[in-house]
Amino acid sequence: MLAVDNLHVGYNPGLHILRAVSIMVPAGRATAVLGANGVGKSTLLKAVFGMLKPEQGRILLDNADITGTLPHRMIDLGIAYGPQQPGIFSEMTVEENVALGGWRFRRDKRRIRAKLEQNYSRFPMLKDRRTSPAGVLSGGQRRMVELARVLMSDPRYLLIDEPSAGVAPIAADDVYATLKSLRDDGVGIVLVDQDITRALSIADYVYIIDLGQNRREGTPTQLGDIVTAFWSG
Amino acid sequence: MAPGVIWLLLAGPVWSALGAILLPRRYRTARRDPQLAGLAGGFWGAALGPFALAPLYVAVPVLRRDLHVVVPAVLLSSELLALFAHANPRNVCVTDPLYVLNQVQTGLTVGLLYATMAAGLTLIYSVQRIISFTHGQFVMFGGVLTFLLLRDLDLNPIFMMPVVAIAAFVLGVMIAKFLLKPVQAGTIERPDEYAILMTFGVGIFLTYALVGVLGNPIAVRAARYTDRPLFGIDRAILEFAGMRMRTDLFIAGAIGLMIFAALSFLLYCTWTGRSFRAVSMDRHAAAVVGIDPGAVFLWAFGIGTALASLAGAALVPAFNFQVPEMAAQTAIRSYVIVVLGGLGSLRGALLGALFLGVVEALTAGCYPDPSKGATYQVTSGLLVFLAVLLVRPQGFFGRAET
Amino acid sequence: MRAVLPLVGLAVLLVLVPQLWIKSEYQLDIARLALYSACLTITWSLLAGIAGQFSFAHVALAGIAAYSGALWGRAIPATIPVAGSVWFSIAVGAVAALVTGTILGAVVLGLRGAYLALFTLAFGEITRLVVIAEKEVTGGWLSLGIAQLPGGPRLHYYLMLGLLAALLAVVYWVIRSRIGLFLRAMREDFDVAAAMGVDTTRLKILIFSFTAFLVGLCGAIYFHTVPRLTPGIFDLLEMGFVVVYSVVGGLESPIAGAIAAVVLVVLLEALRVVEIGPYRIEPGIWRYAAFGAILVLTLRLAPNGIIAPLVRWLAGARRRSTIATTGLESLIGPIAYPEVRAEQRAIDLRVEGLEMHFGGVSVLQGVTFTLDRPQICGLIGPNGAGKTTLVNLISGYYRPTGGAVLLAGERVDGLPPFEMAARGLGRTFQITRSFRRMTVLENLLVPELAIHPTKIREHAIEHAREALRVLGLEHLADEQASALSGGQQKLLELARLLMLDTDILLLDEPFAGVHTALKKSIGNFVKHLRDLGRAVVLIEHDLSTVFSLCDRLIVLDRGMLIADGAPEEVRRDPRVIAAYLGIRGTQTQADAAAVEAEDAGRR
Repeated sequence: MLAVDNLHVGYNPGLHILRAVSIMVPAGRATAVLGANGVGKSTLLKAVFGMLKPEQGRILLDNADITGTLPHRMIDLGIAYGPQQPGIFSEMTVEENVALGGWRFRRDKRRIRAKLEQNYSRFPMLKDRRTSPAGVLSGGQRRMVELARVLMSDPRYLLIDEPSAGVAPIAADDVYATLKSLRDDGVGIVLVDQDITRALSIADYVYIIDLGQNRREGTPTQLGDIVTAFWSG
Repeated sequence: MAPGVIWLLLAGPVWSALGAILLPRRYRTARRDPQLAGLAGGFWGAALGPFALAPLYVAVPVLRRDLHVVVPAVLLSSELLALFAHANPRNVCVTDPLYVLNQVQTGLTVGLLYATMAAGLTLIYSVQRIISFTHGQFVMFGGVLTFLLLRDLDLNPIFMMPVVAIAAFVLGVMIAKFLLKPVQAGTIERPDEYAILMTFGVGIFLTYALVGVLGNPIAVRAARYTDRPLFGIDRAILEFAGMRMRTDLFIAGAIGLMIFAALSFLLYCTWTGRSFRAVSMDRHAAAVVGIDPGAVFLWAFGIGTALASLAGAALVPAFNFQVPEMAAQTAIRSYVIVVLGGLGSLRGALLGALFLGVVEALTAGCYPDPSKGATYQVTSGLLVFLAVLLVRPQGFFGRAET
Repeated sequence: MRAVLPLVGLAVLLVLVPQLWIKSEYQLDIARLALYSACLTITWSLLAGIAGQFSFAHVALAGIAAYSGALWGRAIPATIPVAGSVWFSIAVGAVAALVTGTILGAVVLGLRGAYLALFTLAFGEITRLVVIAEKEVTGGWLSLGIAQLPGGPRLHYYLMLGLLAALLAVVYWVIRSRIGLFLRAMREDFDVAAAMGVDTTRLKILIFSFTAFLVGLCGAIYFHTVPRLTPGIFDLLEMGFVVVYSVVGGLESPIAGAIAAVVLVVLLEALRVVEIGPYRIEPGIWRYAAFGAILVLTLRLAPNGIIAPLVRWLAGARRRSTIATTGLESLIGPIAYPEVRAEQRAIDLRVEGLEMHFGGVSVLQGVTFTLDRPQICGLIGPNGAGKTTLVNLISGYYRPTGGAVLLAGERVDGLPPFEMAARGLGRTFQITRSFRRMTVLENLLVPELAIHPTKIREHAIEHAREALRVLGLEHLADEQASALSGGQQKLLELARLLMLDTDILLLDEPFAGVHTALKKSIGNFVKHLRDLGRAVVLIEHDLSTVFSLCDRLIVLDRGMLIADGAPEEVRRDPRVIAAYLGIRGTQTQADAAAVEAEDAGRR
């Protein structure tokens, strides 16, 4: 269980983008965090991943306090992150990009090789493009590269920010299908998205953030017609 | 010189100044983008005088950087070369093409070592966006250390390289760790000012510590490669197809090429190198896969300074190192090259270095007064610097910073 | 002004130095050198510490002045009445430095930070090389004889002292003037200074020219008391010394730098021979290495310098109070408005077919709208729709790749930000960028004095205080901007914009992260602006605020303008709903609900 407890965080001291936000992310479940633009959803993910220091509040992994852990140590805790702009290395090839996901066990060549093959069988499209520089790929393909890279280290939790942004609808379907299968494999997913329909299609639990605070939460059925609730609020 | 030549010389700058002042004004009143107008006016005015300025003034066309700045610049360069040839008909560069070729060859060879220096600078920059002002000093450090070691040891200079590399690496890492930490950690308000002043200070310290060790500002030159020959190479001059080259220079160039190749191998074929490139492309994504940006910075700085020192170590058997003057000059060369090639680009560093090497060699070789040629060698670098900064600030291969 | 007394004491001391301590002509030379170094440091401090231009060509300019004066003196014999006198040579030298400095300033106009430092370093080194190379003219290493000023070494000392005093007066006069304010703003944040109406282009060239003239004058005078000139005066080490003095003194305090210079020059000389008991050490060159180490250590351990904080402590300066920042902005009272004087303001902004491409990616396409009356216009849209880009284009930070922006009928696209501010269009930034190390009042004075160059300072201060009163920040007027809380900084940005007195205001996320109570206050303030006849465009994500505050909404989605009208209409527009909820295609609200139900049924 990955949990956020009473988080207050912002970019300038005193300017809190998020106030007293708490969410809980069980392993093997997809948790969606929804809300209007600019409400702080991306900020939440950045804070969890250690890129922002919270002024108050804690981040807990299986009840252990991991607040303040540096981003490059998150992989050791089994937490991976996909920012709004897919974090790929544009001048490296697809294969190099994915392989870098195995940075922590890079000396074990066989393991790298094995995981690469695993990823290629899961994402045949990447195998076809293994030698292309990642920079020429489309938005959807970049997301796939990023996900493949993340999978190299068998994460337990994945924080992903707007997986369908800048991605053509059909490709977005593929991305979400992948997320779904990750969830089924036991990865806990924290999903932030503007695309409510898609998010709801795989979410097990939803938090709605408004003006930096928890507003509503529940399973998709419990929340009912989000569209009206959210827009008129 | 003929009065016609004098007239030509005076007119160029006059038209250039007129163009640089009047054209932007015209563009502003015509409600068109005046930004490039100054440069374009200056270059077209110098190249073709009123014949180019008049149509621009009247028609006020949309200006493009490549068309209206590069073209007249090239035109102007050709005119200046023609003028030079005309004014100095007995200059050896004009009469003897083989000599020119020889100079070019020398330039390319030295360029390989410049590339090594510049590669170090560009590596540091791509990882942390710091331009190190100690770079020239580390080249000098490599040379002086080699010189001192070879005074007592009777070995071929090549064997000093590992020692120099390790010493420089250690120094570099210590500087990065203790002095530049605030920049890397983001705890300082004005990181760029701090980096400039700090690396400048380290440079002064290093320069005068070296002079102190040597005792006086002197010119050092280590034993030549051919003095303590390896593989029996002891001929001082190599001859090939009518061209002559000093063996020492050739060996130095070969070493430079090997170092550069090793660096490319490191960056493109090893995990460590990939981690450097990853951090330079996307810091956050690198952190996601577990790469520690702080550690990468230390490594990159260490390797960068090691590269500079290796270049110095390779050059000192072939050239005199004027301690401490050469520090500033070498530093300037490195900066010109990385600006020329684009900060962050290894390929750019190589090509920029070769280009600068050739320009310098030709300046030194063709300058009418041979005693001043060596001095103006470095000046040519400044002119190249200026030109690049004005025409294409991101260099030829760099990424344009938005 | 408690600082005056110790200064006077110091001055008296310096005047008495030749009487009290100097025993030989050599020592007098060192004393003169110390004063000259102080002059160099003061001028560099103005250029680098105040204006933020880290030029390493400074000492070279002094050298150019010296050599120009010397060459003039050799070319024109002393028998010719005015032109042959030493003073004229000095003037020639100073002018030569002025011209070179101006050209240098123009050339480095587009360079900043490390590039500027590199270029000027290269310039200095090249000058040295040229002087060495052209030995027929300059004598090269064989040195150049230079005419001497009349009088003996002692008189020359007093001359330098007088020069130092005059220099201090001039430099501090500049610092305290509005130019000084603009220079500091330029160093703090070049772009924001431009947005606040400061003509940064002219200012940059101006400061290079001015400091070049000053340093040229100092160099010309000093070197006319030295019998011969060598290219050694262009050495990078000489520049390095100036940097050390300045940093040890305190970059932003010319007088601290001057004191540090005198102390360190004397120290350098004193360490020439060190006798401890029976041991005699001659550190020689190592002293210079030590200076490098001093620079490094001072920067690392005392980045604000050593002398300046010491002087402040001695003068008993009151430490700036740190405001306790509570979570709520309860410190800010209700915003008080003066009577509404609805002025006749001409609002005429037309955006026509604006387009922006960044390297193949189209960020804005065909955006067209008009502002022709006072209003509050909300600019909304999903992330990445291009809202900030649009504001950047209108306010002059980017040049559009297509289309036009017309203000009062004139095309203004591509004009620089300070030009736009002068024409009545001002903006704030998404992440508050204030001049952090300047006080709140100074932050407001920059735009005020930039827009009204002829206004008397007292009036400007009164106007600024009034604006602070309106926004409830008056009690913070003398605090450093960096000490303000996030909410207070937002208000400061608004106050600054108020100073610009523009007809059109573009606010980039003024409500982001702000507490609810303050949001209401800011909302009222924006309404007040509209009532005063201004047009306000605000980018916001907080839809409830937007719907209640705005008279009009413009919606962007993926670079295109998809709606423009009253909030009620826009709210119901299916395309807008679709854009926000991420439903692509023609799905309506009903369809979305249907999808939902289907999913629910599946679980």
